[in-house]
Amino acid sequence: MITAGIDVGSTTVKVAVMDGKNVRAGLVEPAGPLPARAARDLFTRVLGQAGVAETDLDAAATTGYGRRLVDFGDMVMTEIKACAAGTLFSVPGRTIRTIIDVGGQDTKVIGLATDGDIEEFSMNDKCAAGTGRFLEMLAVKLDMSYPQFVDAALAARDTLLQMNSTCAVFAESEVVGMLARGEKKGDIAAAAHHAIAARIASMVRRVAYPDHCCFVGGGARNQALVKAIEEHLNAQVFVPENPQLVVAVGAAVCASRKLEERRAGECPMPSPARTEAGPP
Amino acid sequence: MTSLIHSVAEALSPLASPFLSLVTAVVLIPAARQARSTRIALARLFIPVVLFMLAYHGLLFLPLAARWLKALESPVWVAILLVVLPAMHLPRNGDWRWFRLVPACFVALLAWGIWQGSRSVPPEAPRVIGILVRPGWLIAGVASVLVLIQPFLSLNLFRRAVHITALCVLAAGGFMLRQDYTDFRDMRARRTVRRDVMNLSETSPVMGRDGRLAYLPSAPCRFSPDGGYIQGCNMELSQRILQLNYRKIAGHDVAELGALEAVLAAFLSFTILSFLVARWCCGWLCPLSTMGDGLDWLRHRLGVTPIRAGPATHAAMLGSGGTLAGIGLAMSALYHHLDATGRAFGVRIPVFPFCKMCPSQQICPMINAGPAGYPPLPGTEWAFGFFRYGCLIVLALYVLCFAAARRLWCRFCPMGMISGLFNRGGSFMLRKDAKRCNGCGMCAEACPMNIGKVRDEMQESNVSTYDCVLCLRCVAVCPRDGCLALEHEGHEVTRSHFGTGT
Amino acid sequence: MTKPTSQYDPRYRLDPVKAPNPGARKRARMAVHHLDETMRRITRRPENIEWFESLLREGPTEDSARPPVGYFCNMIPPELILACGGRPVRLDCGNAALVQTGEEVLSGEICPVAKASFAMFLDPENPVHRCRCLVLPSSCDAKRKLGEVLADYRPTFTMNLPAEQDAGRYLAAAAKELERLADFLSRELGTSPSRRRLMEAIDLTRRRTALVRELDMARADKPGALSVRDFFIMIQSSFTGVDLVRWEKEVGTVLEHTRKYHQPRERLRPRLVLTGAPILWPNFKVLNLVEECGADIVGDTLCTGVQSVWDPVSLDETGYGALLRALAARYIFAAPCPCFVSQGRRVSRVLELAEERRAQGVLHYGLRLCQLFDVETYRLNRVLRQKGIPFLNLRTDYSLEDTEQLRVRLEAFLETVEAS
Repeated sequence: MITAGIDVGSTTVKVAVMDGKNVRAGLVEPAGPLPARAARDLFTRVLGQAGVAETDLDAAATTGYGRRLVDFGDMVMTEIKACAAGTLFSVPGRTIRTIIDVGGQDTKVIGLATDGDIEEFSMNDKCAAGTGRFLEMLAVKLDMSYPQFVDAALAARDTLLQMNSTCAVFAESEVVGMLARGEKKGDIAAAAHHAIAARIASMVRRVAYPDHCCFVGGGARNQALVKAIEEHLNAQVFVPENPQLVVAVGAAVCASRKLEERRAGECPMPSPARTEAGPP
Repeated sequence: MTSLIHSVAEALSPLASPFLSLVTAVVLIPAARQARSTRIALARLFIPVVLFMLAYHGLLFLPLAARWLKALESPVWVAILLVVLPAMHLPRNGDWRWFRLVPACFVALLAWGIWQGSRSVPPEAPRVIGILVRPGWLIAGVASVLVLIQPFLSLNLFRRAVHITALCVLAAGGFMLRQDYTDFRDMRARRTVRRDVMNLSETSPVMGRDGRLAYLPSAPCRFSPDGGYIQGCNMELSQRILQLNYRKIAGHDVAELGALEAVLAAFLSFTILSFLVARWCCGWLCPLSTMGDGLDWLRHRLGVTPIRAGPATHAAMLGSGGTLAGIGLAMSALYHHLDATGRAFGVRIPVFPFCKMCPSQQICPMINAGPAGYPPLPGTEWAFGFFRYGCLIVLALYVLCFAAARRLWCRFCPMGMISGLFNRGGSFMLRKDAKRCNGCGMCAEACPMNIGKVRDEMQESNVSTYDCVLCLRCVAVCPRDGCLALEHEGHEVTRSHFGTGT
Repeated sequence: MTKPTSQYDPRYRLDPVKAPNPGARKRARMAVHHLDETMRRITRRPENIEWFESLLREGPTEDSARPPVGYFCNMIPPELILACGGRPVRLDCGNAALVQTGEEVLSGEICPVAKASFAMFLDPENPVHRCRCLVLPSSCDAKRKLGEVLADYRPTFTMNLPAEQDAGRYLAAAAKELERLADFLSRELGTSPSRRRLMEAIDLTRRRTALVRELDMARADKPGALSVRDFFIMIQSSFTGVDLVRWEKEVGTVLEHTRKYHQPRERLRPRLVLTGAPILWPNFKVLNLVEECGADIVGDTLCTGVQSVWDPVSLDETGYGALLRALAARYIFAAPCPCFVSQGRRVSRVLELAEERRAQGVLHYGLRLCQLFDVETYRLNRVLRQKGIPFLNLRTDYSLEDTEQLRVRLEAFLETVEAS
C-alpha cells in the first residue's frame, strides 16, 4: 500500500511517500506565496523521486495549516494527529510520552498516554516567541547565517547572559542594545536559545512528561536548541532523523491505517478513482 | 355461601402471622429486585404462603404453639403481606394489572363484609352507628383502596389520603368499627356502667361529664376491648412489661405467666413491625399528628411561615419528652403496690400513668362524644397534682407545636423516640444520589423535623436519620430527578423528579 | 423604617461617562451581521427563529407598562422583579465590538463580559438607559466592581452572596439579602412584592423550566432537530424582558417542530458536553466552530444555556418568608457559578450529563481573564481523565482573530474523541 502525506505549512511544505514500512522519499521546500501550488509541485517531484506513478498511489493525506487549501488529498487531518503518528512510526521500540514540534510559525507539545493515544496537547500559535521564526529573525539581526548562528550558540552554551523580552519583536531591539554594550554574538545567540527552551520546557511540564521526549519539526535540526531543551528538562531528548518530515510521514501513516481499516471493515467505501483505473 | 367464606377466612388466618412476613420478605424482595415479570413474583410469593399455611395449621395442634400463634395474630398482617409489600416491590410493568386483582378482591370482600354486617342487625335493635366488619378485611380493604388510587395521586396528596384514612380507622375505629352485631351490643353495654377504678384490661377509661364512661379509641392504645386493631403504642407496651409481677412469674404463677405470654407476643409483633416501618408510621399513620396537622394546615392557608426551632430547642424537647416518659414508666412499676383505692404509699397513682399524660386521652374522647366527652381533669390528689398540670402542659405543648412549628411535637413524643431507633437499620431507607444534588437545600426547608443531613450529606447514599418520620416531603420537593428516593429493602419505592406542580 | 444606607458613597459620585460612537455602533451591528451570516448556513432552523433573534437584537417590541429592571448573572430571582411590577432584563453582553469600547474607559485587563456590558451604558441611545434600576450579585470580582461603576448611571443594588454554597449555614442570611433586594425594588418601582404576585411569577418561570427541559431532552436524542445555537438564542431571548407567556407559546411551536423531526440515518457526529464560561449572543464563536467541525453539543452546564433555567423553584411552605427562602435556595444555592467555594457539585453535574447524554467528550470554554473557570479546569481535567472522558479546554475571548487556532485544537480533540 503506497500512501503519501502532504504537510502544507505556512513557511515550508513537506511531502513524504511511503509504502507500508518504509519512507520511499520525502522532501522539504519553502512554501512561497502560494503554498497550494508549491505543494502540488513538490508532490509531483516526490512521487517522481520515489518512482511511484500517481495512479499507483492508494491514498494521499493532507495536513498542516493549509490542509484544506490543496484539493488533491483524500483525507484531511490535523497536524497534531499526524505529528503523533509520525513520531511513533519514526521511533519504534522507544517509549515516547512527549512530542515537541518546533515549527516555523508555531510550537506544539503533545502528551501521549502509555498506549500512544494523544492525552493532551498545547500549542503556542498566537505569538512568534518560541518558534523557529524568532531564531531566524535574530540570526538576521546578528548578521549571521543560520548555521553560523547555531554553531555560535552551541559554543557559548554556558553563558549567563539573559534575554528578557517575551515578544519576538522587542527581542530584536534588545539584541541591538546588547550588541551596543559589547556582548559577544555567541552569548546572545545562546541566550536566545535558552529563552525559547525555557518556555518550551514549561509547556512540556504543563501538559506532558519531561522524560521520554521526542523533538521533531524544523527546530529539531538546531542542535543548540536540542541541547538547551535537554538542559531545561533535565532529561534526554530524542531527535529522529529527518525531523522536519515527521508530520508528513505521519499523515501518510494515518492514511494507510485508515485505508486498511476501511478495507477490513464491514462497509467498504468506494476506492478512490485513481486506483480503479488500474494499470493499463 | 357465608359459611364457605368464613371457612376460607379461617384457613387464611395464618396470613395474620408476622412470621410469614419474614418468609415473604426473603422470597419476594429478591424476586422484585430482579424486576422480572409480576406474575413470576406473585407465584414466588404464593408458594411459601401455601407451605407456611400448611405448617401453621399443623402446628395448631400443639397447645403452646397454638396460644402463641393466636397471640401474634393481628389484622394488619394480611394487608401488609398481600397488599402493601407487593405494591411496593412488584415492578410496574404490564403485568401490574394482574396484581391489581388482589387489592380489587379485598375491596370487594370489604364491601361484601359491610353489607353482610348491616344485614345481620336484627330489626328491633337500636340504630347502629358504625360499620360491622371483621378487622382483617377492613384493614386489607382500606389498604387496597389506597394502593389502587396511589398511581393517580401526587406524593403529597397520597400522603394526605393515607393520613385521613388512618385517622378514621385508628381514632374513630374504637367505636365506629366493630366485628359484628354482638360485639357492638357488648360495647354499648360496657359504656353504661359507672366505674371509678381502673382495671388491668382497660387502658384508661375516663369519666364523661354525664357519668358514663367514654372509652379511648383504638389508637394507639391496643388493650382496650373497644378497638385495638393495631399495636401502635410502644409506651403502653413498656408499661405493661413493667407492670408484670416478676416474682410471681418466677414462682410460675399461671395468671401472671399468661399475661407475660401476651406481652411477649405483643413485643415480638411490635419489634417486627418496627423493623419493617420504623418511624414511617409517625409520618403516615399517627392520628395525633394527623389531628395536629389540621392546625398546621390552617397556619399554611393563612400564609404564616412556621417557626424553625434550632438544635438547642430540639435537644430540650427530646430531653423533656424522655424525662416525662421516664417518670411515667417509673410510676407504672409501682403497680403492685396499688391498694384497692388506687394508692401506692399513700399517693394516688393511675394504672397507666403515661397514658394519663398523653394528649390523646383529652382529644380522642371528643371524637366519640363531642365536647361533652372532654374528660374531667385528674384532681390535685393524683400524685400531688402532677397529672393535673402535667396533662394540661402537654396538651398546650401539643397544640402550640402543631400550630406554629410543624412537627416539633414529634421530637418530644416518646413513642417516636423508640421507633426512631429502627430508622437506620430497618427496612426503609432514604437514599440520596449525591452526584445529582444541586445543593439548593429545599429538602431541609421542607422537612418538618428540621433535619439537615439530607441536604448536607455528599458522600454516603444512606441519609436515614433517627428523627426522620419518612414523610417524604423532601423527596416531593427535590427538583432533581432521582436525587432522593425512598427504598424498601433495597428496592426503590418512589423517587424525586421534576414536576410541574408544587 | 431606617433610612437605607447607600452602597456607593455619594461623595464620590461622578457624572456618568457618555461616549456616543457611531463607529462603535456600526461595529456592533457588524458583529451581529457576521453571526447572522454564519447561522444562515444551518440547514434546519425553526420557522419562528426570526422572532427570537429580533428579541435579542432590538428587545421586546410590545409596549409594556412594566418598567425594565436590569440585572446580571443567574443569582437574581427574576420572580422578585416581576412581583415588584418590573420587567427583568438580563444585561450580560456578548458583543465583541463593545469590548473595545469598554476598554477605552475601564481597564483592558478585566473580564470581557464586564467590558462589553459597561460599554452599553456609554452609548446614550442604548436601550439600557431605560432601565429603572440595576441589580447585580456580588458573584465575581468583575460584577462587584462593575456595580460600583454602574452606580453612576442608574440606581444600583449589589446583592451580597455567601462565599460558600452551604444552604445549612447561609440560607437565612441569603433570604435576608433577598428581603433587602425586595425593599430596594419596592422603593424604586413603587410596588411591594406580595405573596400572590410572587407565586404567579414563580409559576411563570417554572413553566419556562419545564419547556426548556423538554426541549433539551428531545434535542439530546436527536441533535439534528435543533442546532445548539438556535437553542441558546431561544433561551437567552427569554432573559430580554419579553412577556413569558408569549415566549412559551413560541417555544411550544419549536418543541413540536423538534419532536416531529425524524432522524433519517444514525447520527455519527461526536457528542460533546459543553461546560465553562458564559456564551452570550452574539458571541457564538465556539458554538459555530463546534458545529462546523462536525460535532454536536448534547448538554451544557452554562449559566447562559440550559443550566440557567434547569432547576425550578421548589415550593413547600408559601408564607412570604418561606417564598424568599425558596427563591434563595434555588437562585443562590443552586446557582451554577464557580464564584462560590463549593465546586464538587459542578464536577458532578458534568459527569452526570456526560453519562446521561452518552457524551464522548467534554469541552470547556474558558474566557480569558476569568480565573474562576480557569483554575477549575485543574480538577475537572484530572477527574475526567481518571474516568477516561476526553477533555478540551479552549481559552479564548470575544474576538474572532483566534478562530483558526481554536479550530485546529477542536479538530485535534475530535480526532481523539473519535479514536477513543
